[in-house]
Amino acid sequence: MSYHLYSGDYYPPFPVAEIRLGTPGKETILGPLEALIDTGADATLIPLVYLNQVNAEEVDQAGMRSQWGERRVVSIYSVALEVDNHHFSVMWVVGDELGSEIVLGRNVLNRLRLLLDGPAGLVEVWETGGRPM
Amino acid sequence: MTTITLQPDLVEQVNQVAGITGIVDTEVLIGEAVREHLRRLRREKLKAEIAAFESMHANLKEQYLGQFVAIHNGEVIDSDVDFEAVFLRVQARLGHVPVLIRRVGAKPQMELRFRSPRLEWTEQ
Repeated sequence: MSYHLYSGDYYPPFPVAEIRLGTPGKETILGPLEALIDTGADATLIPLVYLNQVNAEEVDQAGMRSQWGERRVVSIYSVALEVDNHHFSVMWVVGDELGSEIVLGRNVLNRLRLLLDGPAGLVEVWETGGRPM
Repeated sequence: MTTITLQPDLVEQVNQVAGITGIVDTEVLIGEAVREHLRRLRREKLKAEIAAFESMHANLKEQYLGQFVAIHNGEVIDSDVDFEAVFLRVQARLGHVPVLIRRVGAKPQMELRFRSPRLEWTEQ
């Protein structure tokens, strides 16, 4: 089990985890990078500047919609992703051409055991992984 | 490292553009240009595969609902409930050739929702 303090760069503080990225099917080479934990996001969002550094491969396009319906077309990439000690040799993620934040969405979060301890401002990442989403 | 010979007029253009953009290393500039071109070619191929996926969707739904399918040259070449398994098999077979890998859902298009609005505290 590993721990992370909520990020105080946000108000209210944001639960975060640490990730590393790599070329799909290989070891991770980039990181550690801070990632926001967001169960409201269907998918994981990673700035293109990081995906380009690890030669992530574009495999699809999708529509991405916000809470109030704004829609944009985004590209889906495959990448090797590590969240603390959980290694996913190939994971699909959304490439973010504009933003600089990494957002861990439910396609990754649903494969992890996490405890969000709000009052303590602490994220616990447990050892056991899950099945693919 | 592979050596590639460029035509003199192209070398001249590269040197001039490198000077304007402030990129000192022309190899970096050429590398970025090639990468960008490959990205565009990759996207064009994916768009064709997406069109094929959407035209086949009714049939795909009957056979592959809930699974990821890999579409190459307009045909299903692999499928699995696990994205990773499909990706690795396709990569072993075709290398870095662009192949569409999409989960077959109820609708042809993949639609993702981000439900986390952020507050922006305005100063009074």
